[in-house]
Amino acid sequence: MEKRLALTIGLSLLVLLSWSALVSKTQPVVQQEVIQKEKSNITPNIPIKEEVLLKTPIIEDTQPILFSTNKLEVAFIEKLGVVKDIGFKDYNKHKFYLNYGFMIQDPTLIFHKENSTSESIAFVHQDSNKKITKKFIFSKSGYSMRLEIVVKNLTNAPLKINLPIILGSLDFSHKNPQSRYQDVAINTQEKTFHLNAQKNKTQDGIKFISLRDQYFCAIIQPEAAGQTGFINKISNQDSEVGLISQEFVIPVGSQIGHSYEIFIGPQDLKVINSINSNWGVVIYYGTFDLISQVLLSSLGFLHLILRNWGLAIIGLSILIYLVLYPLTLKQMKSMKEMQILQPKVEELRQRYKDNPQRQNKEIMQLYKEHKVNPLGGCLPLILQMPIFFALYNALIRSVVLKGAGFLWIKDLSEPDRLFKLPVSLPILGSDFNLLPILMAIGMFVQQKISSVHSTTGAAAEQQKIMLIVMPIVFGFIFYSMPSGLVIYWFTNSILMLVFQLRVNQRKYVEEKH
Amino acid sequence: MLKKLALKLIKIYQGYFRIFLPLACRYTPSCSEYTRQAILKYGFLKGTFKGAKRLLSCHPFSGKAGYDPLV
Repeated sequence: MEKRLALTIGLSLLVLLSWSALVSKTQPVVQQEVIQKEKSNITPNIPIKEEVLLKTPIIEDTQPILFSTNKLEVAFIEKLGVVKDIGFKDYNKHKFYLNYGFMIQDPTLIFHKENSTSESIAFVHQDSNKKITKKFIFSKSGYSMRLEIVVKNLTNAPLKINLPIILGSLDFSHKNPQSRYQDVAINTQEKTFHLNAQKNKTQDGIKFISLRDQYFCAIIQPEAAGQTGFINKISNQDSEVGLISQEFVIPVGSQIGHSYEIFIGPQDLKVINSINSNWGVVIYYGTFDLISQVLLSSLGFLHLILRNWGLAIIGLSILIYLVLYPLTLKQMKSMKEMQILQPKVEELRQRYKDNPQRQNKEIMQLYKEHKVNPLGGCLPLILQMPIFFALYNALIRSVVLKGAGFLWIKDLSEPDRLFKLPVSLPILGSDFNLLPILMAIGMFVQQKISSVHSTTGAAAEQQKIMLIVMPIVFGFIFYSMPSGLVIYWFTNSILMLVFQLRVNQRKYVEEKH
Repeated sequence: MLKKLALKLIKIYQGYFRIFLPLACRYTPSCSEYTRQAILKYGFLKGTFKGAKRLLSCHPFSGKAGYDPLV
């Protein structure tokens, strides 16, 4: 009984832990207070590093200038000449936040909008020394654009200048639902680094850098080679990512231009490759990247045939199941045989109660006599882990599922939301999601019929609890996950269930003996 | 150092994660226990190697199963 209690407590803890790890990265409250204080203490003459903190109020005060293309709706902050966020018209107006996108890192600059056409918008700063023009030129149809920065020397002496450009600043506070998906890629001629943006980093000789959220990414590639990319952690909750160029000198009376190729759009390999095939490496699915890519291209292929992403996911589930079928078959057969041998095993257990070594030996001997391999083995289980993680990472970031509907589901990248609950439940929120519940039930039934019966003692007790607890844990974990992912696992457990029922029906072991 | 870390990881697996997985191992002692013992006895490199070898033979088509203690 004590063991059972301990197990239950342990499992509840596990649920809570995995929950908090999966759903939110809560930041300690103390940190926030410190930052608040810093903000209020800042004097006008602050070093560059803290500038973002200073400028926060400006963002709140001013109404952003909206600029619209076929695909994008870009919000600019005029005073800074920066991109605050981008809305994607083809993706339910999902907003991608750069906060200080393409800011020239110099707090003394104040811009105003000069002119805008249907394809471009320009911001100008002018003081006694220099005139800086920032011109964003959008491509007519797609997600690419160009940024041209022209600096004109207005003094009577050569002007030394460097242009550190912020690609964007990332908000890691727990208020931001995207915070746990944000990361950075820095590409040099030879290598791509995929980095957690909460650590400082500088890298020389870069080709392009990029940052992303769950579904979208921003890539910037300077025309001038040999710039330095950096990640600068400003506080526990903010990091900025950008480029530093080498210092250059503008002769009297002349101007110097810098230009940057930019992509802001979905992490869709086809879209990115059509603009610049080098940029595809930005899409990265973690440790098992290769498997994820393979799974996703299979999914894309199935979509071509089935014409619906929901059906394609079910198809993928069946496909993976078929690939692993020989292993499953063998394993299931052995399990069935085990069930039939179980009374004899029990007998041996009782007889050699006091000698575990002997007990094991005898049991194994019994298995050998009946030529059953007691269990499938560790390797099949371990082989499935990478597939699980790869698929999870692939589906959770799949922008193609965004806005794709299936049956009652409006968006496969979000929970299925069958109907709204009258009250908001603590962890689960105010939506009723049917799929995770179906999945938990499916898992429960599948385990119930496949479990080896009639073990006694603590092991049986533990098994019984696992039978109930495991589906509940999974139900909780999957409750707020993209419905596409849940469809995959639901299909998987249904397939296992059907297969199990067939094995049970055939009773092939009895025929054999 | 590595040895300690590996042993710790195996302990964590045995304590918390194994209960979430279906019974699988064909051998006694189980692959994780075998690896743990091997690392204790032979050190990190050789122990891990022995464990990996055992793990690679732990599948439905291997034909081997049962009592297979560390030697």
